Amino acid sequence: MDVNDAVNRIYNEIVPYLPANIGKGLMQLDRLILCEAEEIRLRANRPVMLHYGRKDGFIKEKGRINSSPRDALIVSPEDLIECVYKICEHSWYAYQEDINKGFITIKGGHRAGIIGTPVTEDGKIINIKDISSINFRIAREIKGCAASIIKYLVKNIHDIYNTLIVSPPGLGKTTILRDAIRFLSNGFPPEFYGLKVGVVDERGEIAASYKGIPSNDLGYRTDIINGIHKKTGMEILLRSMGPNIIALDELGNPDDAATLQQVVNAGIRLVATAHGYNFDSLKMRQGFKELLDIKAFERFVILSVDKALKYHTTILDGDGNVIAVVSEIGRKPADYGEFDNGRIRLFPQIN
Amino acid sequence: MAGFAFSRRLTERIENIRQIQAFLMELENEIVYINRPLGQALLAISHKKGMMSSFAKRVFEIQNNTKLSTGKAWEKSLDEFRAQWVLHQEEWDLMISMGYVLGKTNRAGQKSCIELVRSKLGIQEKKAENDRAQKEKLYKSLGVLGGIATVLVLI
Repeated sequence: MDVNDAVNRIYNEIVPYLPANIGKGLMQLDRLILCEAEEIRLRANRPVMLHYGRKDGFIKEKGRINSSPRDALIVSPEDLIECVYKICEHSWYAYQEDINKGFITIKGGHRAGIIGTPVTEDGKIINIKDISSINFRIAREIKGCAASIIKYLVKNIHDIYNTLIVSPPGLGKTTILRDAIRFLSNGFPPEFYGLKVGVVDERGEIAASYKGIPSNDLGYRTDIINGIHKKTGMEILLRSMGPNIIALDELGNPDDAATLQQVVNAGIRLVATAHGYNFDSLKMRQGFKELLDIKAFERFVILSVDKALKYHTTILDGDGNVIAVVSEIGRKPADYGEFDNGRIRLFPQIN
Repeated sequence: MAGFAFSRRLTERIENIRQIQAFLMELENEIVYINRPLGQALLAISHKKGMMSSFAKRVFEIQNNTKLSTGKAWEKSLDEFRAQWVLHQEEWDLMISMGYVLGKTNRAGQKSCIELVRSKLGIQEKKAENDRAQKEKLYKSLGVLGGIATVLVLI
């Protein structure tokens, strides 16, 4: 996917949902800015904000964007409501559960986060009223970004190590997980023959499925269960799909630990991600301690960024010993230009 | 002939109201039990037989092509069928108001709204039946008498 494709995806998959003047403003922006767009934020009676690279900018008329909110395009509360109706195909009822959860996955796998005033009943959110913000998070798939780490996850041609990918938010662990799933599912003979992968995509970020069809390529041997709690999702996958590997994003709920132990004991391999800074930070977290005690994970992939904004990927064994440090792990996206020091352009340099 | 034509319109009105009620029941099923988004629900109904299938198809087409809100697309489509359906203004108004509520609430809200319109249409159906019982014979008789009178005048 080149710059044009990235920009066209925004034109075709995001702009139709936006209020007309904001869509127009977005389409007039420089294509090089748009291809780096990560988020479009609409807030009631506030200026429209584009998050691109590591910068924020307020969108103005005639393709102008800068850090000053003055003269920026303003979103009215009515615009927000209309935008939500468009996102949910004019069928609030069909997306009620997603609205209550705070996001809807739209065509192309992009995610529209929606917040407002929750209406509750017995402590449970049953609706959202007075929509106050919508955040379009633009989905990106970076094929090949896990190429350099995948060999450390493979035990032999038919087996892998239980692996946990750990990083603070925003460093690309879901992007790496997604690509690792694709590698493990398709295989890369003769080093590794593909295995059946079951993905529990609780928040729809891995496969970015839209109407049941994954927007991202997760491989030929992958079955995806969407929008369900990890615990229940794993149980269903175990019963119905007989996967060799279960993949899931953002472990952390202590309730999941028992099911994960069950999965590991059943001989199913795990590939998962978790928020964290390093191996030691995991030991202190409830839910992980039990898993580390039984050595549920045999490989840890730690993503980190140093003070010089260089990105490192450290591979650890199950005891926390460093096996390899990969600073350039092939995270160069085919899509976007330059690649420096192993960083992907999702996190371009702060100028 | 005119008397027969008037009496036929009384019957057609009842038929039309019944068809609309059946359509709303299908729509309720699509929304409440299948949870299909409105566009897809209308498209599914458009593949079935009956006068309402072409209406469902038109709403879907208008909304898709013009990006109008559901309420506006629904009303525009109703306008296109004004010449074909025999309905009283009360029934047209009920149908128009229905369009502006569709898709705006959760499933329970949609269900109660559709049920309300159906029950109001049920009342209209009864009124239409009474209307027919009272007026059908009258129109026919007036038609026959008018015909005889015309013949007599001509003789």
